[in-house]
Amino acid sequence: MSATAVLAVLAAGAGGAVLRAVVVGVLPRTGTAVVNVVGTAVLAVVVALAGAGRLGSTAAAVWGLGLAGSLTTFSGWVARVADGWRTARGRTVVLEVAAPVLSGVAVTVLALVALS
Amino acid sequence: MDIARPDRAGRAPTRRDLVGVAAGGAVGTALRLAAAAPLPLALAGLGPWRLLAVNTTGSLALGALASLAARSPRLAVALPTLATGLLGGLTTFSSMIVAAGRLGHDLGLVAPDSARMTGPGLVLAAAYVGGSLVLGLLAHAAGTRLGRTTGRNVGRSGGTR
Repeated sequence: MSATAVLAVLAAGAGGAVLRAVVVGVLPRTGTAVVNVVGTAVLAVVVALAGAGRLGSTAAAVWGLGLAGSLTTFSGWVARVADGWRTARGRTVVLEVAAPVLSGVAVTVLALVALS
Repeated sequence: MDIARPDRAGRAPTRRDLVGVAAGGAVGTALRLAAAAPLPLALAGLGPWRLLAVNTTGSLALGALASLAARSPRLAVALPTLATGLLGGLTTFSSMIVAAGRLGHDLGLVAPDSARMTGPGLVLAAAYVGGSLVLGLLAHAAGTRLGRTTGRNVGRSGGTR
Protein backbone atom coordinates (compact mmCIF):
# COMPACT_ATOMS: atom_id res chain seq x y z
CA MET A 1 0.00 0.00 0.00
CA SER A 2 1.41 3.39 -0.97
CA ALA A 3 2.07 6.24 1.45
CA THR A 4 -0.73 8.21 -0.17
CA ALA A 5 -3.15 5.36 0.40
CA VAL A 6 -2.11 5.07 4.06
CA LEU A 7 -2.63 8.83 4.50
CA ALA A 8 -6.06 8.50 2.90
CA VAL A 9 -6.93 5.71 5.36
CA LEU A 10 -5.79 7.87 8.29
CA ALA A 11 -7.79 10.85 6.99
CA ALA A 12 -10.84 8.61 6.70
CA GLY A 13 -10.18 7.43 10.26
CA ALA A 14 -10.09 11.04 11.45
CA GLY A 15 -13.34 11.74 9.58
CA GLY A 16 -15.02 8.67 11.04
CA ALA A 17 -14.08 9.69 14.58
CA VAL A 18 -15.42 13.23 14.05
CA LEU A 19 -18.65 11.90 12.58
CA ARG A 20 -19.05 9.60 15.59
CA ALA A 21 -18.43 12.46 18.02
CA VAL A 22 -21.04 14.62 16.28
CA VAL A 23 -23.67 11.87 16.18
CA VAL A 24 -23.09 10.93 19.84
CA GLY A 25 -23.23 14.63 20.75
CA VAL A 26 -26.60 15.00 19.00
CA LEU A 27 -27.95 11.61 20.17
CA PRO A 28 -26.34 10.99 23.56
CA ARG A 29 -28.49 7.97 24.44
CA THR A 30 -28.55 6.14 21.13
CA GLY A 31 -25.65 7.66 19.18
CA THR A 32 -23.12 4.92 19.91
CA ALA A 33 -25.55 2.23 18.77
CA VAL A 34 -26.45 4.25 15.66
CA VAL A 35 -22.84 4.77 14.53
CA ASN A 36 -22.00 1.15 15.27
CA VAL A 37 -24.85 -0.16 13.13
CA VAL A 38 -24.29 2.35 10.31
CA GLY A 39 -20.52 1.72 10.33
CA THR A 40 -21.07 -2.03 10.27
CA ALA A 41 -23.36 -1.58 7.26
CA VAL A 42 -20.66 0.48 5.51
CA LEU A 43 -18.03 -2.20 6.19
CA ALA A 44 -20.37 -4.96 5.05
CA VAL A 45 -21.07 -3.12 1.78
CA VAL A 46 -17.34 -2.57 1.28
CA VAL A 47 -16.56 -6.25 1.97
CA ALA A 48 -19.30 -7.35 -0.42
CA LEU A 49 -18.24 -4.98 -3.21
CA ALA A 50 -14.54 -5.82 -2.79
CA GLY A 51 -15.34 -9.55 -2.72
CA ALA A 52 -17.23 -9.15 -5.98
CA GLY A 53 -14.32 -7.28 -7.53
CA ARG A 54 -16.31 -4.05 -7.81
CA LEU A 55 -14.12 -2.01 -5.42
CA GLY A 56 -10.34 -1.63 -5.50
CA SER A 57 -8.15 -2.51 -2.51
CA THR A 58 -7.20 1.11 -1.75
CA ALA A 59 -10.80 2.34 -1.83
CA ALA A 60 -11.83 -0.64 0.27
CA ALA A 61 -9.15 0.14 2.86
CA VAL A 62 -10.13 3.83 2.99
CA TRP A 63 -13.86 3.12 3.42
CA GLY A 64 -13.57 -0.09 5.42
CA LEU A 65 -10.47 0.21 7.61
CA GLY A 66 -10.49 4.00 7.82
CA LEU A 67 -14.04 5.31 7.83
CA ALA A 68 -16.08 2.33 9.07
CA GLY A 69 -13.36 1.21 11.48
CA SER A 70 -13.14 4.60 13.13
CA LEU A 71 -16.84 5.49 12.89
CA THR A 72 -17.64 2.46 15.03
CA THR A 73 -16.22 1.94 18.48
CA PHE A 74 -15.86 -1.13 20.65
CA SER A 75 -14.47 0.61 23.73
CA GLY A 76 -17.27 3.22 23.73
CA TRP A 77 -19.85 0.46 23.32
CA VAL A 78 -18.39 -1.51 26.25
CA ALA A 79 -18.34 1.65 28.39
CA ARG A 80 -22.03 2.27 27.65
CA VAL A 81 -22.91 -1.35 28.50
CA ALA A 82 -20.90 -1.14 31.73
CA ASP A 83 -22.60 2.14 32.71
CA GLY A 84 -26.05 0.84 31.83
CA TRP A 85 -25.53 -2.46 33.63
CA ARG A 86 -25.20 -0.63 36.95
CA THR A 87 -28.51 1.22 36.61
CA ALA A 88 -30.90 -0.54 34.20
CA ARG A 89 -29.91 -4.10 33.35
CA GLY A 90 -32.96 -5.06 31.29
CA ARG A 91 -32.83 -1.92 29.16
CA THR A 92 -29.08 -2.32 28.72
CA VAL A 93 -29.30 -5.91 27.52
CA VAL A 94 -31.99 -4.99 24.98
CA LEU A 95 -30.91 -1.54 23.78
CA GLU A 96 -27.14 -1.56 24.24
CA VAL A 97 -26.28 -5.22 23.55
CA ALA A 98 -28.98 -7.05 21.58
CA ALA A 99 -30.14 -4.19 19.36
CA PRO A 100 -26.76 -3.09 17.95
CA VAL A 101 -25.38 -6.63 17.63
CA LEU A 102 -28.48 -8.07 15.93
CA SER A 103 -28.87 -4.98 13.73
CA GLY A 104 -25.18 -5.17 12.81
CA VAL A 105 -25.50 -8.85 11.89
CA ALA A 106 -28.69 -8.14 9.91
CA VAL A 107 -27.19 -5.33 7.84
CA THR A 108 -24.06 -7.41 7.23
CA VAL A 109 -26.08 -10.38 5.96
CA LEU A 110 -28.29 -8.10 3.85
CA ALA A 111 -25.29 -6.39 2.26
CA LEU A 112 -23.50 -9.66 1.54
CA VAL A 113 -26.60 -11.28 0.06
CA ALA A 114 -27.62 -8.22 -1.98
CA LEU A 115 -24.20 -7.29 -3.34
CA SER A 116 -22.23 -10.54 -3.61
CA MET B 1 -19.23 12.58 23.52
CA ASP B 2 -21.14 11.68 26.67
CA ILE B 3 -18.65 9.03 27.78
CA ALA B 4 -15.59 11.06 26.99
CA ARG B 5 -16.83 14.20 28.73
CA PRO B 6 -19.41 13.36 31.39
CA ASP B 7 -19.62 17.07 32.25
CA ARG B 8 -20.73 17.78 28.68
CA ALA B 9 -23.29 14.97 28.43
CA GLY B 10 -25.98 15.78 25.89
CA ARG B 11 -24.15 18.81 24.47
CA ALA B 12 -22.77 19.05 20.97
CA PRO B 13 -18.96 18.86 20.85
CA THR B 14 -17.10 22.15 20.38
CA ARG B 15 -14.88 22.87 17.37
CA ARG B 16 -11.84 22.42 19.58
CA ASP B 17 -13.19 19.04 20.73
CA LEU B 18 -13.62 17.98 17.10
CA VAL B 19 -10.06 18.96 16.15
CA GLY B 20 -8.80 16.80 19.02
CA VAL B 21 -11.12 13.96 18.04
CA ALA B 22 -9.86 14.10 14.43
CA ALA B 23 -6.22 14.00 15.55
CA GLY B 24 -6.90 11.19 17.98
CA GLY B 25 -8.94 9.30 15.39
CA ALA B 26 -6.07 9.45 12.89
CA VAL B 27 -3.60 8.17 15.49
CA GLY B 28 -6.00 5.44 16.64
CA THR B 29 -6.46 4.32 13.03
CA ALA B 30 -2.68 4.33 12.53
CA LEU B 31 -2.22 2.16 15.64
CA ARG B 32 -4.89 -0.23 14.38
CA LEU B 33 -3.06 -0.46 11.03
CA ALA B 34 0.24 -0.99 12.84
CA ALA B 35 -1.30 -3.80 14.90
CA ALA B 36 -2.11 -5.58 11.63
CA ALA B 37 1.54 -5.62 10.47
CA PRO B 38 3.12 -7.62 8.96
CA LEU B 39 -0.16 -8.97 7.60
CA PRO B 40 -1.15 -7.49 4.24
CA LEU B 41 -3.68 -4.72 4.55
CA ALA B 42 -6.65 -6.88 3.75
CA LEU B 43 -10.16 -5.70 4.41
CA ALA B 44 -10.58 -7.57 7.66
CA GLY B 45 -7.55 -5.63 8.83
CA LEU B 46 -6.47 -7.39 11.96
CA GLY B 47 -7.94 -10.87 11.87
CA PRO B 48 -10.15 -12.03 14.73
CA TRP B 49 -7.54 -12.62 17.45
CA ARG B 50 -5.52 -9.43 17.02
CA LEU B 51 -8.80 -7.54 16.80
CA LEU B 52 -9.91 -9.12 20.07
CA ALA B 53 -6.61 -8.09 21.69
CA VAL B 54 -6.86 -4.52 20.36
CA ASN B 55 -10.50 -4.12 21.43
CA THR B 56 -9.82 -5.53 24.90
CA THR B 57 -6.75 -3.34 25.38
CA GLY B 58 -8.67 -0.27 24.23
CA SER B 59 -11.46 -1.01 26.72
CA LEU B 60 -8.95 -1.33 29.55
CA ALA B 61 -7.35 1.96 28.55
CA LEU B 62 -10.72 3.74 28.32
CA GLY B 63 -11.72 2.52 31.79
CA ALA B 64 -8.44 3.74 33.25
CA LEU B 65 -8.56 7.05 31.39
CA ALA B 66 -12.14 7.87 32.36
CA SER B 67 -11.55 7.21 36.05
CA LEU B 68 -8.23 9.09 36.05
CA ALA B 69 -9.90 12.04 34.32
CA ALA B 70 -12.56 12.15 37.02
CA ARG B 71 -9.78 13.23 39.39
CA SER B 72 -7.78 15.37 37.00
CA PRO B 73 -9.32 18.40 35.24
CA ARG B 74 -6.24 18.66 33.02
CA LEU B 75 -6.70 15.12 31.79
CA ALA B 76 -10.44 15.68 31.38
CA VAL B 77 -9.68 18.42 28.84
CA ALA B 78 -7.76 15.87 26.75
CA LEU B 79 -10.52 13.26 26.86
CA PRO B 80 -12.07 14.08 23.45
CA THR B 81 -8.67 13.47 21.85
CA LEU B 82 -7.64 10.45 23.90
CA ALA B 83 -10.95 8.70 24.56
CA THR B 84 -13.33 9.63 21.74
CA GLY B 85 -10.61 10.05 19.11
CA LEU B 86 -7.69 7.75 19.87
CA LEU B 87 -9.34 4.85 21.72
CA GLY B 88 -12.57 5.16 19.75
CA GLY B 89 -10.58 5.05 16.51
CA LEU B 90 -8.33 2.24 17.72
CA THR B 91 -11.15 -0.10 18.72
CA THR B 92 -13.83 -1.08 16.27
CA PHE B 93 -17.29 -2.63 16.44
CA SER B 94 -17.84 -3.13 12.71
CA SER B 95 -14.78 -5.33 12.21
CA MET B 96 -15.84 -7.41 15.22
CA ILE B 97 -19.20 -8.19 13.61
CA VAL B 98 -17.64 -8.98 10.23
CA ALA B 99 -14.81 -11.00 11.84
CA ALA B 100 -17.39 -12.99 13.81
CA GLY B 101 -19.20 -13.85 10.59
CA ARG B 102 -15.98 -15.02 8.95
CA LEU B 103 -14.62 -16.99 11.92
CA GLY B 104 -16.07 -20.28 10.67
CA HIS B 105 -14.32 -19.76 7.33
CA ASP B 106 -11.07 -18.71 9.02
CA LEU B 107 -10.98 -21.82 11.21
CA GLY B 108 -11.88 -24.11 8.33
CA LEU B 109 -15.20 -25.19 9.86
CA VAL B 110 -17.26 -23.70 7.05
CA ALA B 111 -16.48 -24.26 3.38
CA PRO B 112 -14.63 -21.22 1.99
CA ASP B 113 -17.09 -20.90 -0.89
CA SER B 114 -20.15 -21.13 1.34
CA ALA B 115 -22.06 -17.86 1.55
CA ARG B 116 -24.47 -19.24 4.17
CA MET B 117 -23.62 -19.23 7.85
CA THR B 118 -24.30 -22.75 9.10
CA GLY B 119 -24.56 -24.20 12.63
CA PRO B 120 -20.88 -24.22 13.65
CA GLY B 121 -20.36 -20.81 12.04
CA LEU B 122 -23.31 -19.33 13.92
CA VAL B 123 -22.17 -20.76 17.26
CA LEU B 124 -18.65 -19.48 16.69
CA ALA B 125 -19.91 -16.03 15.69
CA ALA B 126 -22.12 -15.76 18.77
CA ALA B 127 -19.29 -17.00 21.00
CA TYR B 128 -16.87 -14.51 19.46
CA VAL B 129 -19.18 -11.51 19.94
CA GLY B 130 -20.22 -12.64 23.44
CA GLY B 131 -16.63 -13.40 24.42
CA SER B 132 -15.46 -10.04 23.07
CA LEU B 133 -18.11 -8.22 25.11
CA VAL B 134 -17.32 -10.15 28.33
CA LEU B 135 -13.56 -9.60 27.91
CA GLY B 136 -14.19 -5.94 27.11
CA LEU B 137 -16.34 -5.49 30.22
CA LEU B 138 -13.74 -7.22 32.41
CA ALA B 139 -10.98 -5.08 30.91
CA HIS B 140 -13.05 -1.91 31.36
CA ALA B 141 -13.67 -2.80 35.02
CA ALA B 142 -9.98 -3.58 35.55
CA GLY B 143 -9.00 -0.31 33.88
CA THR B 144 -11.47 1.65 36.01
CA ARG B 145 -10.03 0.09 39.17
CA LEU B 146 -6.47 0.73 37.99
CA GLY B 147 -7.31 4.35 37.19
CA ARG B 148 -8.92 4.91 40.59
CA THR B 149 -5.94 3.41 42.42
CA THR B 150 -3.43 5.35 40.36
CA GLY B 151 -5.45 8.56 40.69
CA ARG B 152 -5.62 8.20 44.48
CA ASN B 153 -1.89 7.56 44.73
CA VAL B 154 -1.00 10.46 42.45
CA GLY B 155 -3.52 12.68 44.24
CA ARG B 156 -1.94 11.89 47.61
CA SER B 157 1.46 12.88 46.30
CA GLY B 158 -0.06 16.13 44.95
CA GLY B 159 0.83 15.47 41.32
CA THR B 160 -2.61 15.24 39.71
CA ARG B 161 -3.91 18.74 40.13
